[in-house]
Amino acid sequence: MSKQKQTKSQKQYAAYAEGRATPSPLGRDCLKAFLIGGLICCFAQLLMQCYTALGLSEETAKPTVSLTLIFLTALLTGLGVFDKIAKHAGAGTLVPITGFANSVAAPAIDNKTEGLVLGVGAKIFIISGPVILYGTLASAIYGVIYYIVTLFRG
Amino acid sequence: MGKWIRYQNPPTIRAAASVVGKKEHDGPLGSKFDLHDEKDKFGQPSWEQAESEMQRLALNLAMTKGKVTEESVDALFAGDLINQCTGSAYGLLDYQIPYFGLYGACSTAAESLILASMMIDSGYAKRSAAVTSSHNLSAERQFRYPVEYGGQRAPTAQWTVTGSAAFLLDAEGDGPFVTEVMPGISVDPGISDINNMGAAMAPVIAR
Repeated sequence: MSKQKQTKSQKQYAAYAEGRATPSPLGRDCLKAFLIGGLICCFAQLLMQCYTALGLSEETAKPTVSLTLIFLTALLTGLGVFDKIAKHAGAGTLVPITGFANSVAAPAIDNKTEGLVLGVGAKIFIISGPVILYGTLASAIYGVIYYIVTLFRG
Repeated sequence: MGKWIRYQNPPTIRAAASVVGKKEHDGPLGSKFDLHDEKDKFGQPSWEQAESEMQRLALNLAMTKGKVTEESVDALFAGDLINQCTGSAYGLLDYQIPYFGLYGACSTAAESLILASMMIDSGYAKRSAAVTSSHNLSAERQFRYPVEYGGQRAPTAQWTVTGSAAFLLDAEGDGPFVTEVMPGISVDPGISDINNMGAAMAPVIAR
């Protein structure tokens, strides 16, 4: 369907259907995403302070904060709580590292019934796959560009 | 345009049974359903097996209500929302009844009822059964996102029912009767929003 051009009546119907569909409550969604996403970031900052106060160097504390958030997300996903928070938070939980952790943990739990290899192993990156693939690809391209730039800088 | 089919020998719906999940049971029609499970799992390890179990329970209950044995049922039309109709094939494996696996997604209930009633009207069967099911979480897994994935639903997004229903049709009986049927015609109204299936399906009814 997507490859063919829409006919005139299809276009008319699409416009009609769109006009009648209840739109997402954007204002409310944005506010909730801002508040919950902000809270997560504040919590991360608090962790950062705690870790540095405990004597970790800033360089070690940063990944430790990320790991803590990933662990907590995976735990909450496993307990079946994360999706209930994310239903309200939207981008608030999707954008920080929590969204990525959930997108890996959720299919892992889901496909456990299909076995460790063909279930969990094959399907764990079913959502995060594109991010990993194009993220790696982009970093490789970035590396090449960076290398060329350094050649000219001498 | 659709075509009416008027039966010469209208079959009767001898018995029907329904099995639903928790959300359906908690809803306004909750008390109308025969069976439900608070955990949506029906004692099974996976959602797919739960869907199969719902079909088994629904057909079993319909046959008990209709006081018929499986030997007297000549044909079984069943479908579900899982790849290759595994939900029906495994769920109804215990029944030694000639089986037709159907896939009509949302239309499976009507489709199976049409075919099961035609079988009787044409005289090839004295009794037939129509079974259909969907499970919210097996459908989420197959068509949308993993169950625990944290996503937001669009206001127009549909919710797949957790439930199964079985009809038992008979050549003889006092009704209700299936007297006329009209199979639908596929329509592509050009809706590409996966969160608005209602808009994609509605024009079929209008035809």
